[in-house]
Amino acid sequence: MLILGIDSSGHTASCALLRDGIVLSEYSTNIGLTHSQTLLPMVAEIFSRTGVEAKDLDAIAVSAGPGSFTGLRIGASTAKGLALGYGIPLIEVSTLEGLAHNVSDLSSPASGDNSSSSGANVSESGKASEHADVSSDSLFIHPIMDARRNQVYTAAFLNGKLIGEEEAIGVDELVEHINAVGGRHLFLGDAVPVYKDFLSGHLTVPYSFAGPQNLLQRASSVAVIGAEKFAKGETVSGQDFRLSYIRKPQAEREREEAGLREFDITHDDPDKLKKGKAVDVLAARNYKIGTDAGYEDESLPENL
Amino acid sequence: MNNINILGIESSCDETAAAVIRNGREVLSNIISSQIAIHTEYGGVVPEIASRKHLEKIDDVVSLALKEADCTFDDIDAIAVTYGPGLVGALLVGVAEAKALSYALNKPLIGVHHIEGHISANYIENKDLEPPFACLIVSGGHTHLVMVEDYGKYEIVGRSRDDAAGEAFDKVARAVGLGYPGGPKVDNAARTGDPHAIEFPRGVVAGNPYDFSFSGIKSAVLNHINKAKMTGAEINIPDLCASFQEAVTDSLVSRAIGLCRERGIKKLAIAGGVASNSHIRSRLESECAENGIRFYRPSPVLCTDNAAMIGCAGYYEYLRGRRDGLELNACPNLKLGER
Repeated sequence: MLILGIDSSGHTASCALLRDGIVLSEYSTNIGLTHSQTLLPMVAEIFSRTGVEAKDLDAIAVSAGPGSFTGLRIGASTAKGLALGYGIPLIEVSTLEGLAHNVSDLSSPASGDNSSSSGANVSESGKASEHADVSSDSLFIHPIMDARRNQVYTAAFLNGKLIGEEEAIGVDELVEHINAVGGRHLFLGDAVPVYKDFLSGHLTVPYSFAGPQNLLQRASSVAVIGAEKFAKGETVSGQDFRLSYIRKPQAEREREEAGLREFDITHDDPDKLKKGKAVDVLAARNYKIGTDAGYEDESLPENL
Repeated sequence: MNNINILGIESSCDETAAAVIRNGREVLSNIISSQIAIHTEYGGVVPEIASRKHLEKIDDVVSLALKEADCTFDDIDAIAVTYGPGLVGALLVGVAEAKALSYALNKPLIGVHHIEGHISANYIENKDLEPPFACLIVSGGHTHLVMVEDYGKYEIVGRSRDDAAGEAFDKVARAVGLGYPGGPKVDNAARTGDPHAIEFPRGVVAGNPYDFSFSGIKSAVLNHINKAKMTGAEINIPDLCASFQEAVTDSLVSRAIGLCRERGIKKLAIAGGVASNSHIRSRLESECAENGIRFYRPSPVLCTDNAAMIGCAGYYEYLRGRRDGLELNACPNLKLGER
């Protein structure tokens, strides 16, 4: 099984080639947001270096959010173009799950001492768990990604499983949750450098931070999860692929907050625009062009 | 000679489009997914929403373009994509998809300037049109008067110093409550109005006689509306729209015809979204006829953003030997004639 993993959801652009459970090659650069110029040349490089034929790919696993909106789209449209060209499916992998996978082997339940194997700088402090069904040994993994406005995109993973849901929440709120749960907690992601001091100052449970080698998005993690999903048949076509941004566009949020839905400013035909109707307002159509220079049709088609 | 088929891809603003063009001027397919119904709810294009919708639709339009053209990827000789100017997030989707397709299919990649695409739309329905000719480009983002000296070779003779003509249409339409998009709404409202009811300024700029200015016209219209509101006078929307449109049209037509006369050019083309404005089209048509100039204009569906024009422009760049690499980036402020 040959899977290409792609992640460009943050400052790191990363791609990796996984064949039958072995990471053949992985390229990552963390030199700022120039993914449009770096990502595809890296993919090309990976194939030319490994000598693996790209047309032998079974699927492409791509980080499907949350993350930088533009970064996610560069990864997704690159993956979609490749998948369309090779006629193969895509695999949607949560960015947060991918991050958590960087250190997932740490999170096995109470099976001996595993405190320093994956580059985690353990700096335990605080009290033992008061939470009934969580042992003081339980290691929660918290990928945290900077979502600006004092929020992080985050989710909690225990024994490799998602607990609760992926969300954008305030760091103070996150700390409150974690302090109430108990157990041990490992943080990674690009929000760690931003909130390290805050977390250290407010957490009352044992915690640690991943080291720089495991801190950020890695396409190998995305590819490994992708391979698992591929084996279970969890693939999508490029047309059905969707990013999960978690956050709506600012204009949409503002519009909802202002209650503008009722204040009908511009609709010609509100019925046509209503959400949830079977009508696909974006439906792609072929607008035929005559072969002769005759300007018979002097009007613009209605939906353009 | 073998046929050359270009797959064109366009995502610079709010239409996701793909097309297959044979030998530069024959449109085998021209697929558009328009987001206008969505942006209308916001009174204008919302870049983040546009980018999201492009990503959702890009595979659909490319697949449908091949299907409607009765082609497979094997029949495609090169991939042409708009890489600027436009909304950066929107451009990036088309550029990344096109680059990935080019890599996967091992087909040449050609970056196309969006405005060069608009100009090239004229070639599609006018098989005999060849450079040199003058071209007036009027759209929501651009107002340029250029000399097309050869395929891919342009002299920019005049440009707007401030707002694009289309921007002025949008702002006036919003001010009188006609909504978005302003061009067709003002065009419609003006049909029953008197173009000489109100005298608006014609936007003369110092320095270059071929440069445009539309912010003065726009401000005069907004002042007129505010004054009417304060004095409680009723605003006759058809008259206002017709008078505004007349002022914009005068300013466009006088420069375009002036350039043709000054340089003895016998061919004038128009391009861009505002080029589908019925008043501008008919005024240019009659003034061209009076001055012995042949007038070219694309059908309205080719004036709007589309990928057929990108495939057409890409074909001539292909013949000229342009090839782009996998590091091609979106250039939101790309200038005409720039690489």
